Amino acid sequence: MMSHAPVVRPPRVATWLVDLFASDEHAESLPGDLLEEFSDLASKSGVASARRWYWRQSVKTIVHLFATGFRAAPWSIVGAVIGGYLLLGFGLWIPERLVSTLTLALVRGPLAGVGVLVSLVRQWPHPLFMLPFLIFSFAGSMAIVIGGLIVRMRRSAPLRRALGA
Amino acid sequence: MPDRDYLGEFEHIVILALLRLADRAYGVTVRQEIEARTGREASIGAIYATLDRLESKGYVKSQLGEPTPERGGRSKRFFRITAKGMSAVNRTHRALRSMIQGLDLSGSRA
Repeated sequence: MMSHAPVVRPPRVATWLVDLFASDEHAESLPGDLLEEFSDLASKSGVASARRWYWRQSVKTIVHLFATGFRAAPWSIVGAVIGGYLLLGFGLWIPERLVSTLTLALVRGPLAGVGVLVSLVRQWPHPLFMLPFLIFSFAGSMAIVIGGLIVRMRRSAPLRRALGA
Repeated sequence: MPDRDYLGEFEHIVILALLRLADRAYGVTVRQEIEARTGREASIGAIYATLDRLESKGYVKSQLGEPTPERGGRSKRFFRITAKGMSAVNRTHRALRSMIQGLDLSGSRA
């Protein structure tokens, strides 16, 4: 009877990033190749070493995939990045003048969660088109939450001093 | 003039790996063959980017294999060199031979 090696999974974030940047044509073969070598390496050299190898390969691979994608469709990529930043700027400027920081954080938090879930479950309609949405969801929410915390700390500091005095 | 094209350095290495591996040539084996023979750690992304370029020039053809459980149910993409690719290899070798002919590459003249 054959013994089965324990199932070792590669780093999830690295896998997700490779999936995000891989073209439809290589969406099957490229992550499969990485997984095959990772499993082989994990059984020979240990999981820690295999994970380091996987991260190194993923980062190098993403650079190549991005360069290839850029050569194939430079204007779509430039458009997606600029669109994301414009969306971010517009999305921060307008609502901040209408509602409070806490309300915005409460709205943006779940939005970021939905963004992560959607991109994990289904890269629709194409990984690159997710870029503006991801920039908008993550960067906007983070900026608002951090900004809110700074404002809160600055507001409460004089109050604490006054109470302590 | 793509028909007069010579292979680039990495294209040359990748295409020679395909010739060595014959019908076993897919991402993992190509990467390992290059690493074993040249000592150069190539990324799988670099291999695919080069194979994409070679395929767009008509030097290489690819086809998907069957999905396997050890690859998380994902298929292998097998690559093979075409007749046009073979003439590009020969053309590049002829050019290299012609450039090397008569040179002393031992380094003693430096």
